[in-house]
Amino acid sequence: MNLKITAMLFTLGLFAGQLHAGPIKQATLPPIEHEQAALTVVASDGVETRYSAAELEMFPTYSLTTTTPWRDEPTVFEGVLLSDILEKNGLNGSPSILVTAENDYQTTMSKDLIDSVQILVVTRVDGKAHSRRVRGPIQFIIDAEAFAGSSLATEASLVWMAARIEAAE
Amino acid sequence: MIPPSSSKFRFQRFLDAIASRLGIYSAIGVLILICVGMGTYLQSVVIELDKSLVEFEDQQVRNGYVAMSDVQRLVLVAHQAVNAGVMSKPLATEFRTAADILYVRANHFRQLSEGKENSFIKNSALATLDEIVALADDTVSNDFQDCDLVFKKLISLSSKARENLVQFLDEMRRQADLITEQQAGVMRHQQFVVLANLAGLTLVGSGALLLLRREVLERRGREIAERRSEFLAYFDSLTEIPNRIQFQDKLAEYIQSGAHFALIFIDLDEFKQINDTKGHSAGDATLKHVGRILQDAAENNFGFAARLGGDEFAFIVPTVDLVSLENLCKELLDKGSRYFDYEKGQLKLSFSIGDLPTSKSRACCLTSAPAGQI
Repeated sequence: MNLKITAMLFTLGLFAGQLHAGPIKQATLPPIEHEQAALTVVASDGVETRYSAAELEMFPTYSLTTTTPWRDEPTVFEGVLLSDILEKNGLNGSPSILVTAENDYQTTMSKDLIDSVQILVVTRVDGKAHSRRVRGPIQFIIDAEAFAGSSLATEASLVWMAARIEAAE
Repeated sequence: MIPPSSSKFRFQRFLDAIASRLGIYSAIGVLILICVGMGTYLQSVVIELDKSLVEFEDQQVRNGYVAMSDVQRLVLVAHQAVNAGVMSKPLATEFRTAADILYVRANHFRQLSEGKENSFIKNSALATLDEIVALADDTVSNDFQDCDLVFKKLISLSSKARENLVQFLDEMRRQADLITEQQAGVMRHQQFVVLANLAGLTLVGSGALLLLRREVLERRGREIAERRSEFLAYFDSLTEIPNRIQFQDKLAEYIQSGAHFALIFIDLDEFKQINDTKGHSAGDATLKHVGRILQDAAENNFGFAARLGGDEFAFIVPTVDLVSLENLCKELLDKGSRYFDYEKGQLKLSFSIGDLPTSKSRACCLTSAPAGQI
């Protein structure tokens, strides 16, 4: 009887472990000096908020180890969830958002994409401040496996040098 | 049996070969191969077209245009500093940012070229971009000393970069034309493959229909032969009324049931003479005529008529009433004595009838004129 209960608890424990063992894990980040950068978010009421990298990290922070189309070796990316930023600014209900990069690149991301795939707004790479010369200082990253399995995520979703987020018209 | 023509015979043998188990499995195999081949080919074509499109539009052309924009951004910042006479802190930040953006663009451009056939033009453009980045990095590391000279060098390099990138984009346009031509070729090839597959499927489908038709015809022929065989077992082929076998079965049934009935025997008078003088067709017509008379009478009297053989017929009537039997016999004699048509004219016959009721110890016989015998 005891053996059976132990086995059941063990199975439940494994199952619970699988539920929480996603590629993106919550992480506590030590303070560091970031490269000068800012992400401006235009809230649903039109109010603009300018987040420095350090201010972005006031949101819950996460860690993700993955490859990208430009990095063959798995790299540790750290930052905050795009969904948290959107929720804070009332943009989580928008059908789509428009993201603009420092180099004037623009892309539209649908709510379906944001709801189906976790997008990490990366501020650190391998524990160091993200650099503009390696597609930072603020970059959108999706876990490679989730990226490959999503019909909505494309390379356009992995925005480099992200500078501005607003609701798409 | 008429031998089939040689081509038809060969075709029949071909159908026989297809209709065998091996033939059917082979046909199904060919069908599956056609479908799989067609699907695989179409999939490979779609993948190839998608790949060409992405490579051309995203990885080549867009990067050429954006690289020109990134160079221009750096030049503009330097121009602003020259105009202002000083590299202010905000301008210095913008300059560094612009240099970083150009650095990433050049690297991205280089990464896209890795493993691909690099053209001289693309390498030249990349080399110029690298030169601009190196100049920008030197300027930053020198804390923006001698901005005027830097600006002049930037203008010169940006002009060279623009020239190289325009040539690169022109080459991309030529490659785009080639891709379009390749796509058209693929579509033409695809059209041929689709037509070939449709022809193959039509051939297999036609073969299947022919086999089906043959099977249906053969089954129908077998059914007709079986029905004919069954008919001949119990019916007389000439008069189409029951034959002696069925008569014997029927008689046994009546006897076993214990029901009262009467047996009437009919014999044609001088039938041989009809055959001899009028021919066998007249004889056959006479027998058919008698058969029809007896069959009608059997239906009207709930009886059973049969041809026993030659010119002998029998009639079972489920009654033993002598008056009724006599009337029935007279009716038969009356009908039989009338002229009837046959193919060469008219005939009149006579026959003799004898009846035997089961419950009476009496038999009677009637004869139409001229007299016959029982």
